[in-house]
Amino acid sequence: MTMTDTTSTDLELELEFGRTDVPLARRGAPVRVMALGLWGVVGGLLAYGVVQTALKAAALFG
Amino acid sequence: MSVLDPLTTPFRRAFSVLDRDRTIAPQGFNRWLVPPAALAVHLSIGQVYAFSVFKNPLLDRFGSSHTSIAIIFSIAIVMLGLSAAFGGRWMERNGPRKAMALAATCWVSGFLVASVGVNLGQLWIVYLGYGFIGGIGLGIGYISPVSTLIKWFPDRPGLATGLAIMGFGGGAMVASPLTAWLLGRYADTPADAIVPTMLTLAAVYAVLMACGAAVIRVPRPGWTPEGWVPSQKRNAMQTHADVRVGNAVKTWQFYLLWIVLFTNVTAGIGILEQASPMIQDFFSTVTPESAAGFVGLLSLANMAGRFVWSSTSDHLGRKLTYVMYLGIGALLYATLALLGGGISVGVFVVITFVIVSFYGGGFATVPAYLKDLFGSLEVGAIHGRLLTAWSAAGIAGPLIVNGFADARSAQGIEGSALYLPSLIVMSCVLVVGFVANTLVRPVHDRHHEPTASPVPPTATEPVLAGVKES
Repeated sequence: MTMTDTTSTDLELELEFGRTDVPLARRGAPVRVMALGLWGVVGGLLAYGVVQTALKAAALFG
Repeated sequence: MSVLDPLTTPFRRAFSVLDRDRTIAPQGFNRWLVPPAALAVHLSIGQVYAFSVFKNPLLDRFGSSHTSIAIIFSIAIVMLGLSAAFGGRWMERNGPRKAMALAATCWVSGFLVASVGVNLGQLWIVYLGYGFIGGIGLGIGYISPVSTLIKWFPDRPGLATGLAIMGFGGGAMVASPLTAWLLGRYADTPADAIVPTMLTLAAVYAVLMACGAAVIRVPRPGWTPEGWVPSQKRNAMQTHADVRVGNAVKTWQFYLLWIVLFTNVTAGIGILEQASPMIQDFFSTVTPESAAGFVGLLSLANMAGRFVWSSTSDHLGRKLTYVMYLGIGALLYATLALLGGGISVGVFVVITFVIVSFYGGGFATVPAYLKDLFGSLEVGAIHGRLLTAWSAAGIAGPLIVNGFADARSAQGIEGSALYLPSLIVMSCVLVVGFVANTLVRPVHDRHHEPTASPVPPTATEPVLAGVKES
């Protein structure tokens, strides 16, 4: 199987999203939206942790 | 056809969404959409390093000894090592989504069962929940996204593993203030707030890990990044073949890397375990509040080191990176031992910051080192076996530091001199790791899997802004 083998891609997307009547690019959109949203969530959590820890660490220099 | 088929078919169909086949990325899938899935899992399980926030409330709730409460964490870490070691092959066979779902189930169930134990006042149920069941979730969750990311980033495996494992360091930084805030909010005393706090954390981690499992994708067989050509240099440390876990554990390279990880982790724990009392013993001017700030700074070093040093290893090479971790680390420990309290607070902080960043870097770089030596076929399973070094170091590191500190204290020795023997021992431990690292050579061809006919890499890798899913 190669990357140009679109038949299996169609099959996988059909399994994934259960639809064949929508263009392939649109069928992948939910994953893209979820992943980008998840980037926002994990980035926000990491930023929260870093800021909280940096505030705590500031006591060392205070 | 079995008579039970009509009953089991709906369940099998529902669970088939977890199958590896269902996670194969469509053509043109942007690989930068995968790291948040790994980070979501590692941020969740990284909570284990913030377990100390629960320690005092649990002591009040159960009225038991420090040791009996500390056992909860110890069981979790031991189970992490064991489940990573024995669950690695299952994970490689079943794919990352099923592994992440199992990890989420165990991790969240661990909190739920532990909260029942706290509610009933039965410590053994807490051991079973957070320690045993949660610990299994830790091990499976730790290894599940790492090999997937390595397969997506064969050109930058250090960056990929650094991204994922940075989340584990960051998880404690998120969980620590969040847990303290919840414990202060749910009831008048933290001891009464343990159950709702655990249930809240369980709910948060269930959602976060489920999102990670939903987003995770594995590359199609034969996929490579556009324009990437593997280095063809002879005698290079990076292999183009694959070694299965069963063969990998028969090679001396695996055991050399086990020593490398064990020594690096042991030395790092030497500082982390005693950070707060150590800086106060070195410098009488440092208050407990400032010492807490020092602990926070080391957490930042731990997390930053995972990403920065692991990414740097893609350019330096894995072996040279470990030469830096272990060689410079040994010199820094020796410097602390020689100069003792004669250095300024600033120099002490800088030295320990670098040492702990190397500790984090060692964790994050080792999967990429394994990928270089053994290929990416079963790198998750091999990584799982190697993590037993972490469990062993988790016992050895604190034993060395606390053992020497207690013995010196009993002799009436005070100040920085308390730590002199343990600092020297840590320096020597790192030298052992340094020697082991220098002995690492490419794995012999006889361990390699037979190579199939090459698949032409024709994948495209669009930039994030112009992501293309079809």
